Amino acid sequence: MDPAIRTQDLTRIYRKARSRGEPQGEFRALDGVNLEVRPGELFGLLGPNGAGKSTLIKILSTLLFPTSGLAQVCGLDVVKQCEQVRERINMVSGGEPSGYGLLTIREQLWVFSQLYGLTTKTALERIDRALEQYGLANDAGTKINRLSTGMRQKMNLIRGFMTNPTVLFLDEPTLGLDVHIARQTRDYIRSWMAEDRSRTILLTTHYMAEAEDLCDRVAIIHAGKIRACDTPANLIAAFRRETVFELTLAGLDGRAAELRNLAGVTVVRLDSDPAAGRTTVRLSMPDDAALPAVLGGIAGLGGRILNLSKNEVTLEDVFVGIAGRSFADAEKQEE
Amino acid sequence: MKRALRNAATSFVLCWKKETNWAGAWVYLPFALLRPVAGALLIFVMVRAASAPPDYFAPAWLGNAFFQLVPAVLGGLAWAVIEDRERYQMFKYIYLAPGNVVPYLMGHGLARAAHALIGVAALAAAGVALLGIRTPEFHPALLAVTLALGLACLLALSLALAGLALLVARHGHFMTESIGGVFFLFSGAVFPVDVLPAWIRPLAFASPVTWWLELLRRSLGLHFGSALDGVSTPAALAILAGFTVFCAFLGRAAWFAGERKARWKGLLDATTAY
Amino acid sequence: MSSLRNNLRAAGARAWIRVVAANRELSWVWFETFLPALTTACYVFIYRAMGAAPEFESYVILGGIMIGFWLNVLWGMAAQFFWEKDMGNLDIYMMAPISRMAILLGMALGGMTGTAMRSVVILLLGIFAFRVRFEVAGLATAFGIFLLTMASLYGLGMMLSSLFLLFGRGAQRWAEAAQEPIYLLAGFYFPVRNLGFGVAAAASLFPLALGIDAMRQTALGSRAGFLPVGVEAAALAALTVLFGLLARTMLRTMENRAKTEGKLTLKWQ
Repeated sequence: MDPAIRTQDLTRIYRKARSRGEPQGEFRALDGVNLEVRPGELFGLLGPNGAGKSTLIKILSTLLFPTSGLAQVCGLDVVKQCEQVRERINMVSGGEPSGYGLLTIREQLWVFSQLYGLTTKTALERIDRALEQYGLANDAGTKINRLSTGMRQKMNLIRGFMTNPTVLFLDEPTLGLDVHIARQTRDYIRSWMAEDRSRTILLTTHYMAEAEDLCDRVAIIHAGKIRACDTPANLIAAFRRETVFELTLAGLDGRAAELRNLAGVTVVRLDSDPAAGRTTVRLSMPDDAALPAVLGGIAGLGGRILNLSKNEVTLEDVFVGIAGRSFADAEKQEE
Repeated sequence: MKRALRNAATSFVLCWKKETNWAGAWVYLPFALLRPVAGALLIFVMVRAASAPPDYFAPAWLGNAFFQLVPAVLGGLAWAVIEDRERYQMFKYIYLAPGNVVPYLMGHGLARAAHALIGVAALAAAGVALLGIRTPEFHPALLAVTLALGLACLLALSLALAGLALLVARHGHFMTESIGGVFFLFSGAVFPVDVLPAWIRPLAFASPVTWWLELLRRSLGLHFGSALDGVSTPAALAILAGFTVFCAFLGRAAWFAGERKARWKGLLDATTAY
Repeated sequence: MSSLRNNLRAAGARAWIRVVAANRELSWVWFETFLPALTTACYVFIYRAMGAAPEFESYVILGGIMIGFWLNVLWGMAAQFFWEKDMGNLDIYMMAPISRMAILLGMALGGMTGTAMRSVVILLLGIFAFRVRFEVAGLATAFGIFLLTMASLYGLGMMLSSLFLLFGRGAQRWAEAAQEPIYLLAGFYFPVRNLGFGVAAAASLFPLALGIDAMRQTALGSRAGFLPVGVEAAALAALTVLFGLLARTMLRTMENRAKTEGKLTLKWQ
């Protein structure tokens, strides 16, 4: 059986606009990506902003050509067989306004169903069922320009699901949603997958907990390269040899950033609140024996420990172990 | 005041960039001239096709040249509202920033005027250099005062349209183009107001653009029809000044009314999306 | 067959959006029908000021009627791809298993409601306010010419849409700048032969130049035609085929270029 998604040495280079007096630059959004997603999998792609997640989804959903390499969906080449690929896919992007403001939710969904050749009867049956399942039935007659962000995103998800794609791409589906709607969305994704085991979803996110909660397997992508690919449990197990501590500190007085220079540890996350005079730091180290030296270093910076706890390894710790820095840091560097 | 001026200057630069930064200068200049030149050539071909009398051409050509400013400035502020709100979705941020949104809109209007002036200058120069148009007299002071008053009046009217643009959908840009068309009809830009049916003529007299174009022609010693012959130049100037003051009040009132209603109806960040 | 059915379904749905949305937001009626009629009237008065023969007024009315169709092609269809991109809808259309021409057809058909109303208002203005007289015997032929003109015009519009797909804001600026040049070259307000043979022949690549000229000859009995009606009709038929084929090729080429350069879904271009 063909993999649902397969990429081989997939590379995409964007040419940067030429500035006056400067040579043309290049940005390597994807750099030799090799990936295989099996039919029936809910596969997560994790990475900070600018890591290449959306570029990969755009290529797989036939919206962008790769610069080199191979990309296949359901065994079909997305460049040469894009028409056949489109029969089998759909895509939903989170946080993007789309749709026609003066149409109602039900009308809007009907319009997009017509792009996939559904008869009006079938389309409306599916739409009404989905609206019911996803808690939007009472708003079916509401115009799009009156929708909240959450309602709009629910509508967008239904747009993607209602055509019954073999492979569905979800690009940050819970971006900007509140906790309740994000949970509803994850439940809806799960139930849609459970309806038919041949369905495949490729989901990008930079919410670690979401990937851990939803995905059968995840790949960590950073700077256009796949750095790791396995089940969340296996990735975490591989990192269990590391020890993770979370400390709340006071008295650092603007020297919090120097915690990054402590020898023998990796700073997973560093949140500094100068107004409250507190810093929370999450540290990963080879074993407990490294702790005394770390505490000495903190004392050397003038820091006082308010709280110290030993934590379970999470996907975020895995990411930092692989990429060498946290999501937040990676995003800051992209900026 | 200082903040308002800074707002307007920033907005001028922003609008100028939006108008021009999609192309290099060698593409932009012919682009800026294409529309006014083709519009003027349209009049030129019509004159030849209909064998118009010789005294028709010069005032019509120059009237058409100066009229380039009218739709550009008149629609400038409304267009800024529509584009910033619908396309860039930035209007809400501009609106909530301290330092009134009106100077920001005025900056856009002035940038559009500067853009249109390129066409006005090119057409006037082409008329004189290539088509043999001769101006019997030249009164620079009258020309300068008239241009300044007309520009102020058009900016004020544009503010009123911007207030209206807050309340309508994206096709508000058709609104500005269409209203430019109304002025083209009622203001004697390319034909004397005498030609209009008698029952429509009062509308022409009630249009500040009619007096503006008449004074511009007088500053060049040109004569176009006889409907305004009975009004002396100082009187015409006073009428234009009166219109400018009236439009300033009208523009302000219409803008604030539109703004209040848009805020009430939640339209300050609305998008049409169809 | 099922592909044709799916494409027609998609075109119908896209047209439906226009019709329904326009009915829910009626401000366009004023700005797109009544006021353009006044602009048309303006050109009638220009001829009156020149003391031109009455047939020039009827030329203006027919030109004014046809302008609406051109604007619908340009702004309601060709430029719409650019607007859809900014609205976040273009990627939905582009990854759907349907022809891009079906979507464009839907946009064009949907926009016809407004265009038809605009044209009827100008027609009524011509008949009742300016006493334009039509040659009844030539109306059937004129209608045939109109349909041919529309077919080739919409083919041209589909070609232009491919440019909007790739060049975005640049294409929009050029389309705005080309408005008056098109009015000039199409002979909306005067018989196109007044441009001189060479320019008129070049302008004939724009279907409205030939279409309006042929319609003036058949519906208004104009003797100031550029070419015989039969020749103009044949040329329009040829343009329809040519633009149809070119539109298909250009849409595919420009889409591929946009995908290569990463501009297909690039917002605020």
